[in-house]
Amino acid sequence: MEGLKRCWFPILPARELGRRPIALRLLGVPLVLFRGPRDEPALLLDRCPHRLVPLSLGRVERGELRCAYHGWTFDAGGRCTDVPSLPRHKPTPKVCAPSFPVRLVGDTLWATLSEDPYDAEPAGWIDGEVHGSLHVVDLACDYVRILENLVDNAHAAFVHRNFLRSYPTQDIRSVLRETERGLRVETYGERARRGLLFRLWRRVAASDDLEIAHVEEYLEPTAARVTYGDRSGRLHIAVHFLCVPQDAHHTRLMYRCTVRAPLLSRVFLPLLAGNVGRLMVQDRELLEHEAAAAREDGDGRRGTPTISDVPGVWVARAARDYAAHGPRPRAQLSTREIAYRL
Amino acid sequence: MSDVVPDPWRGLRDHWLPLRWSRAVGETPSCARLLGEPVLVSRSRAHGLRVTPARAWRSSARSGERGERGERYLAEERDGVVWCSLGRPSAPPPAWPYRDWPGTSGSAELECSFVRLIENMMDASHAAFIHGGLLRGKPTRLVRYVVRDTVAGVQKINERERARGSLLYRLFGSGEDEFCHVEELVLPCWVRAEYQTTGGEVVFAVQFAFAPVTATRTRILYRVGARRAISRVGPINRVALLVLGRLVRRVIEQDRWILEAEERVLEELRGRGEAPRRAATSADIAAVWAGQRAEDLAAGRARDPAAPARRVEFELRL
Repeated sequence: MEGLKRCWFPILPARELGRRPIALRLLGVPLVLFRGPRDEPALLLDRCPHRLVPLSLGRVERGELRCAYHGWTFDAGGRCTDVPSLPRHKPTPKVCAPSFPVRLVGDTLWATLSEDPYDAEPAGWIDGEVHGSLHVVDLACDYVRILENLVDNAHAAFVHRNFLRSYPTQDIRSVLRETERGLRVETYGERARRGLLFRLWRRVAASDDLEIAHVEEYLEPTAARVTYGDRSGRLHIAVHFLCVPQDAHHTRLMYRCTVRAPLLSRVFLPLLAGNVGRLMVQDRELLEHEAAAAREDGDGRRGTPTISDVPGVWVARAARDYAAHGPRPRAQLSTREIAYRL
Repeated sequence: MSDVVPDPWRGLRDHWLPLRWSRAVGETPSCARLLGEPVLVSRSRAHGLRVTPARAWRSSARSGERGERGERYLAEERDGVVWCSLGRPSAPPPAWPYRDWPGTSGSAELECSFVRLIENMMDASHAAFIHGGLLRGKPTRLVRYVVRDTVAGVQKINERERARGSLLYRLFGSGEDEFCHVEELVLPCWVRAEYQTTGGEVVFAVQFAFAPVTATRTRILYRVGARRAISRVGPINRVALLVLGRLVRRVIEQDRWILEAEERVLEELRGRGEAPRRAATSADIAAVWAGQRAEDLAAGRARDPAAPARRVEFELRL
């Protein structure tokens, strides 16, 4: 995951950072997040340089982090400022806990492991200015598998049966377009049917024959965005997913739901967020089983892809390429149209 | 290339190591591990104390015979402890010091290495933080700190400590009396702590006896004793000893919390093939020396009898 080390990742909803330090993991690196001076967030390697004990077991005192074991204290920059048992201790720069950049953007804390990130500041959430709700779910699987799942429409009729979709009966077509930032999959021809969410939608749109256009996007390096809208433009919902690779086999998925619907967004948003949460629980069960099976096989099994899996295959290829090499200009942007049943 | 993995415990095999408190051993064989070796321990009128390799029992079950094959490890009881050796010890098991003092005892197993546990027990400066308010208060007082090599291990002496903001000192100290705190690693398996008055009288003593269960799991048998009964009234004394036992248990659980977290970090580093790099200060000398001596003994590296004994002395804030 070398290519990801210079990226910004969301690490925590800001509301969850209280007076206690919080242990996190990003790209296999253990981190501790705490409130430094003036309550600004600070991020250090979660290891005391003394005995390697996690600093997250310690406590915050006047904007500094005190190790639980011997009381060594570190400021927001990771410098050791106090060794309580040594009266004449002079801190040396060698003995420190490495620190990492952390930023508060909107309602989310973002971090990078690099002093020289690709972007000077985190981009924040798409539609960050729109009223939305932020959620976190941890999954025991790699982030590429999650991204594949997020652009995969065909599983919804089974994993999310009668909730998002019902048994596939409609012929639809999807257009896949590689973009400078990833991949865009536009799906046409789907009509609101038996799924609970679609029934709600039909009620809101006051139409029995509603064509729903949905767009799944993969956004480099580890994000996806799912947008549903009707042709009338009366309702537009979007969920922006950001995968935070904790290590090779664990991912924190942070997602933000937004709704643009005249008068109804405040009512519809909690409903949408709750339902997306339920979808995530259903996906998590499947994805974790799949990841465990792949690990048993030494990560060698790639399954049997069909035409409806093309979006997932393209996304996985692009995400792995980014993880290995970082951002690269694309020589040619491909487009492809696929037809299948939803 | 050789497939033979060097025995990490070759230096400990010929020593007596603690297995169980005698009171925990009955006629029904119970499982234990020592130096990675699964064993069964039992005591019966017919056969006395027996410690047998678990594999001997498994083989006999397959063959349909009852009981174990003839294999046995050396085991003896002394001062209420079942001691066991997987080799050929040259002396009888050690006596438990201050066994006749009123006190309380217990045992625990921690997911950390034998050496790391010994280092922790010889380390004074962590007590104000992990055991803050229980063993020591916030470090404010300068004490004279002496660390020296002994024939059997390492000794550490803190002089001029005072009973302060901690529960145990309030129980056993008196106001602002000064006292001397001596901790000693006695290889192969002991760390012993004594609390002396300025007159040199030992008033309170704690002994820890360690045995490696596996490379990352260690057993402790411990006993805490006071020279005099805490109260002259029998029932009050019994309650006080119960409370003392709970407090010691709490101290060990606090150590477990930190040591097991540290062990998980070390395991992660081992998994990545990275060597752990730790910063050390003069306050860590006793722990570092004790760790080296324990590691050398476990690996069978004999100490050169002609090597000069090390000794350092400085001021430490405790």
